[in-house]
Amino acid sequence: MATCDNVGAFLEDVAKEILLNFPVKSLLRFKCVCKKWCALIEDPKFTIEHLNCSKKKPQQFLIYDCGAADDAPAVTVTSDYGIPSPSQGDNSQRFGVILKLLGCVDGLFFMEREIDKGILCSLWNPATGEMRHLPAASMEFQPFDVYPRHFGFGLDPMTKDYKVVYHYHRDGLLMFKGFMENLQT
Amino acid sequence: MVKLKSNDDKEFEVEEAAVIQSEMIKNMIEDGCATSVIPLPNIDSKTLIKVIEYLNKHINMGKAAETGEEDDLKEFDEQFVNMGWEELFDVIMAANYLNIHELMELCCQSAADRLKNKSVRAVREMLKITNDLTEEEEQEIINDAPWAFEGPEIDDTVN
Repeated sequence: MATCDNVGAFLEDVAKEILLNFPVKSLLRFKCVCKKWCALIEDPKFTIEHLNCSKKKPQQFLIYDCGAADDAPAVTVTSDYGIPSPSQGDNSQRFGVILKLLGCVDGLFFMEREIDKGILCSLWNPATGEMRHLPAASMEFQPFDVYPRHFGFGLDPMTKDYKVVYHYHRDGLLMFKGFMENLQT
Repeated sequence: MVKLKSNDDKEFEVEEAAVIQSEMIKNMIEDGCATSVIPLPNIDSKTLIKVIEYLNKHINMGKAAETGEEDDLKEFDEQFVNMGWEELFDVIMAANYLNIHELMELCCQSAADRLKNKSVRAVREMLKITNDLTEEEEQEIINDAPWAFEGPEIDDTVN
């Protein structure tokens, strides 16, 4: 085994190479290993490198169980291990009524939900479970608007922002922005 | 042929075509600073034998694609990383020092596969890392994503 001096060097040079190969769940846990790992994993540059590494690996699955019984919320599951059995619910997240799910772009999804008779638009990262609500305060949606809503979701390659475009067929174009640079994907 | 010397004074002869997969040695040869025997003070003979085994097998990597030997190479890689944790750790250190990109990638992937389901405690022990986070800092990280610390796959054993 390498000596203690080597272990110091190991942390600097090699830890990142290994960390890039971890799934997101492990990264979130291993932020607890030491300060250096925590700083490295939270570094936005690391997030981008990790995303590029992940793109070379087999794709993950997102399973949307729209057949949930009665009032039970819809269930979504992601997995590293191929399609999980329904009992493997440890990675699942539960949501209320999902009206629209767009994506994915770099592992992110746009989600439109009906909550308390209002509409909530969010960007969702299933790998980290993070959810960012979009500033929809200026937009008054009604669940049963006469006019259908249209959404588009994508990455602006110039600014590196993930953008959601909302189109209301009468009033033209409305745009809002979500800054997602800190999200693990 | 190029001669490599491990830190326990054993010499190994390797074909130049094999050894130049190491960026470090390739640069040494190109710059004309390779001596008749290249000393490797960071690598012991046991580890160097493993590295040379890899270099010799991957010497014809370009050809493998043409002759359909890719599967053979894949099988070799799978067998190659089938070694003890400490041995793997040493090969990673050597691959990093010699700058052998493909070997580094292969071994880091294997290390990540072995570590990914480990508990925080087990990872610290396996990599001999001292925890420098306060209890509060640790708790904060756990509170951010408690689900990442739970699950039947999480393994607290050290091996």
